[in-house]
Amino acid sequence: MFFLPGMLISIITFPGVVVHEMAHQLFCRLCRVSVLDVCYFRFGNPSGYVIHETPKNPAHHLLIGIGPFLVNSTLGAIIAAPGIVPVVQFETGGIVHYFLVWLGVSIAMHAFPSTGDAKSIWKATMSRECPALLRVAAVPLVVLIYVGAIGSVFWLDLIYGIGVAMLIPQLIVSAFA
Amino acid sequence: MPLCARCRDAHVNRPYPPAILISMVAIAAVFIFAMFLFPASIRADIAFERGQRAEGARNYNLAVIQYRKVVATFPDAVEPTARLGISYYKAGDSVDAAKTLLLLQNREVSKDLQDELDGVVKDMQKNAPQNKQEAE
Repeated sequence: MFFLPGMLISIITFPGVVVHEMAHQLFCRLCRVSVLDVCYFRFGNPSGYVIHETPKNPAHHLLIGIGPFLVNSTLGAIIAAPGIVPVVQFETGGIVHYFLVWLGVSIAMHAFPSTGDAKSIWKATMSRECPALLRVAAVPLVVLIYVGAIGSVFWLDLIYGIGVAMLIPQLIVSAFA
Repeated sequence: MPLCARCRDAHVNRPYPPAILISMVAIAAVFIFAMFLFPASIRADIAFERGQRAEGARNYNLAVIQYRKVVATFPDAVEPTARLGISYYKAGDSVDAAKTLLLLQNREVSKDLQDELDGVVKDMQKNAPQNKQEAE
């Protein structure tokens, strides 16, 4: 396994960072939570961020936290799917197919919320106002986010991105072939 | 710090910068383009899977039909072309088999596939009419 600085990965996969932050902002808008500052992409750590006020409703907190997970996974999977078949299955992709795979995987691999998001979800769902059911739903989610964050050292985010991109064609082929 | 209603509205509806709006439109365009390409790719993948199944069941005529669909979509794909050539031969169509296998000249194939292709080509040469007559 070779080492690539996180910064370089962020530059190569910058569309994923932009979509991640856009998704945070979109969910803030949907939940009517004020956005105080946004950085869609920068050369630094973190490579993007959304600073928003603390949502009053813990469910909104959870939604804003996992918004990028839903948006990036769906968008990445659909964009990469038509490229994955020629590139991976038939090893014959053209430049358009490689572009779709790069864009789809870049977007999907930035699906995981950051540890900052995990901390804020944890804080919100462990508060007294949070309903017990939401708390139960949040615990595995926070664990998953931490696993994703730790696993990114071992390329788990890239593996997730590729897995998501390959999932849709696999499912359709096994259902219809 | 609590926000007044007007500031809250302004912050909630904070506009996306023009560059980000352009990125959004570009990604939406790629998304639509991907949706447009997707059916052909997936049809080819399904046809390949069906072709392999048909070949496994020794239904070579059906395998030919399925592999032809894949090669029509991805003419440069090595494995489907090789499988199409092999299926043509096994279905008794040596002429199309030879034509198809010629497309693989100077193309890299896996060792297993190379061995299989060598076997088919050897068989074709052995069973070619002029070689048969010489043998008799």
